[in-house]
Amino acid sequence: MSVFGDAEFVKKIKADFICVAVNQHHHRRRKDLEYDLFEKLVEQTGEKVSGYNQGLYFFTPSAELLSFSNTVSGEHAWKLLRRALDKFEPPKTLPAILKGHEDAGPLWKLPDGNQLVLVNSKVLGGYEKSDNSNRKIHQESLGRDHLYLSAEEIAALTANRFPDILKKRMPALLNDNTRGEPGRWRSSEIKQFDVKLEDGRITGQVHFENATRDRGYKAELLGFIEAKEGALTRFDIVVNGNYWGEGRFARNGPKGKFPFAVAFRLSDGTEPYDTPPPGVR
Amino acid sequence: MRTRILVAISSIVLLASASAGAEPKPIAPDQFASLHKLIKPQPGESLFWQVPWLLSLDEALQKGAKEGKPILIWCGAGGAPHTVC
Repeated sequence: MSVFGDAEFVKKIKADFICVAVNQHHHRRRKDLEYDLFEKLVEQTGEKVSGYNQGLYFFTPSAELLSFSNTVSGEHAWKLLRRALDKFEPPKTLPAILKGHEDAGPLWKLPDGNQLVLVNSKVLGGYEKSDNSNRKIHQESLGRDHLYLSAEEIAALTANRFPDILKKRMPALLNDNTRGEPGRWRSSEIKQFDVKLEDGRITGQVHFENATRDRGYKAELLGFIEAKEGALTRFDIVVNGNYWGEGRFARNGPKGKFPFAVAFRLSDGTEPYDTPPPGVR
Repeated sequence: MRTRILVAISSIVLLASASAGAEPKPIAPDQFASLHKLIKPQPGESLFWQVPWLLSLDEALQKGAKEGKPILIWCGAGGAPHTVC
């Protein structure tokens, strides 16, 4: 189990730590104080800022490293946490942190008239039993991503027309991201993505497959939309079918074809992961 | 809780038996709601979403200094826990 599925761990970090979620993909591209702080933190682990800075970092408010590892396994994370608390001494004075220029680019906000759709995916079977704790975490995990609907797309949908641009954007989300980043489908790999919208009901067929035929997804799609006063009040879709293969950063998937499903739903603004991430599709 | 787990397991078995290996079949409208619910985060699942994650290191360090607390950074490729990895 992931340490973030451990109720005791979650209770502990809520009570005793200030918690930050960092998207290294964007933090390492920022041109402001946030980048400077990120670099300072990362370099104390003996690494340089790169595309491989994932992990759990424990720090003092003066940005001094207490403990670090690239893990979410329960036992290991608890050790890091205890080590951090053992070493930590609350600062007697507030560290001086100079607020510099802020590069707000990555902290993107939803434009007016757009709507946010939450996307979850799940492998529904086919895994071989494993005693490896990290593999167990991945086997139980839920994939998550986001889809922005632009004002133009919403206008088309409310007029009972499925926009062509959405047909191009949605395949990126129909991918097994439950164990990591799966690698996007190339346009040549989109063999079929036929979607129809009739009277609020969306139906479709999906067939993606790479050139070597060792990774693909074949599925059926069903969904329902409802609208009121020009805005969507429902955007529920399920895509269910067979996936096979795995991406370079999403290893240890089930062997052969396995059942895999993706669900879309409108954000109601109440869930913590309603925060629109940068770079969202 | 037990009932919910049983329903979830039944749904998974239903889904898996309906699609594993064979050509996928159209999703029956009467199964839609249960399938949709099954693929969403379940109550009690994904507890990390209960944590009030900040998105700024600067803000976290300043808050930590003010409250006398250490900082935990969960660093992901894609912005854990808000996005993909």
